[in-house]
Amino acid sequence: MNILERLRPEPQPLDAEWSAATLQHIFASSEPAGASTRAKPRRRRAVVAGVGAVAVLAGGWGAAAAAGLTGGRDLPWTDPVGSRCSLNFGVNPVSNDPTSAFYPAEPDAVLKHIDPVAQQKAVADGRRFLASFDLNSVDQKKAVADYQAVQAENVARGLQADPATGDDLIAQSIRYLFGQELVSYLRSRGDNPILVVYGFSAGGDACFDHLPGEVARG
Amino acid sequence: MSTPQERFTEMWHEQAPHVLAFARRHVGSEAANDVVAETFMVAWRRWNDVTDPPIAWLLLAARKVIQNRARTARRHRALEERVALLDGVASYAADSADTAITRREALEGLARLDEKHREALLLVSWDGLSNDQAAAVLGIKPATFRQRLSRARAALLQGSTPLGPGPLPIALKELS
Repeated sequence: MNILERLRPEPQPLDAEWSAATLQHIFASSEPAGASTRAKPRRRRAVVAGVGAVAVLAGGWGAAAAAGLTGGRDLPWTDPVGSRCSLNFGVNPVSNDPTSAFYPAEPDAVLKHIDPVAQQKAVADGRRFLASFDLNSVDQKKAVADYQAVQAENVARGLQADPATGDDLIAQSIRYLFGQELVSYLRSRGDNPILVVYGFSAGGDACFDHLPGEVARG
Repeated sequence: MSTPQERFTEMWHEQAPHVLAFARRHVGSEAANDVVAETFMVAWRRWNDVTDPPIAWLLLAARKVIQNRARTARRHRALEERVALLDGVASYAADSADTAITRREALEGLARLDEKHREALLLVSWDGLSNDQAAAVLGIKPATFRQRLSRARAALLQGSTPLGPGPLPIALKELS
């Protein structure tokens, strides 16, 4: 065995918490290549996003209801062309049920950190934040600008930007803002955000189906 | 059939420690985690492009991430800093009676190589890549890589006598 082989570094185990948080951040930040080019439901769509983890529910409101999302808070929203839509947010505990939409992407790292008391507090704090979340006070232009700035940073790093446009872009920007503020709030309360999953869905018969971007996406 | 998220998570567990070791020897411990996170972010966004096995693809992506960072904070690393980076990741099992040189001497020998020769050696010896995979990571032809690797080994061998206070062997002088 030569000296170089003797010096070969032993793989170091990843810090479990960092590993879990990073994985969840990656999943939350984007869909994998190919997924973004799939045809998306035009009229009703639902997204489950975690404080970190993200999963896309393909079945619209039905799937959202099955996942328990509709137990969240429905916020009426009028899009820029006057169509009445709704945004639904929910805050839920990370689930240890593998069939749940809230099962973490990194179960080994996340589930072992679950302390039922701490999780209960985190969820309660998260729901308190949700109850106080005022959609009317959101500066949508700023939210979109902030979200686009994040996308621009991604592009500068050679990453793929979120192709969302129109209503979809605004909804995603609000979702991003909600997630950022939720994480900050939980941390300010001494909670570990990894214990919480937030759900987001957007819908409305007249929304998400008449925008140039939607037509272009086919 | 497993989902892309499950397959990605599996890849993360298997490969992230290796990418972390690669990053640590280039940017140090503090920035290495960020490099790993960015690298796997790229991998997730380009999931369909990731090769099987993925290690060469990931190291190439990590190398680009590191290069992008270096462009914004370009600086020449002093020898001691290069030794420290290598020292931070190298195994501690190297020193033994049957080795002609000590761990420290070997690390210094590596650090004195110019970057492209050092990287050729380490991609094979430490990262476990084949010659062809390493060539792909460096963006050069396999034949060119084999030649570079051979020169790197020869240069390291020349420096394998204990390093004294005198001038370094010419082959180990920095080429850059």
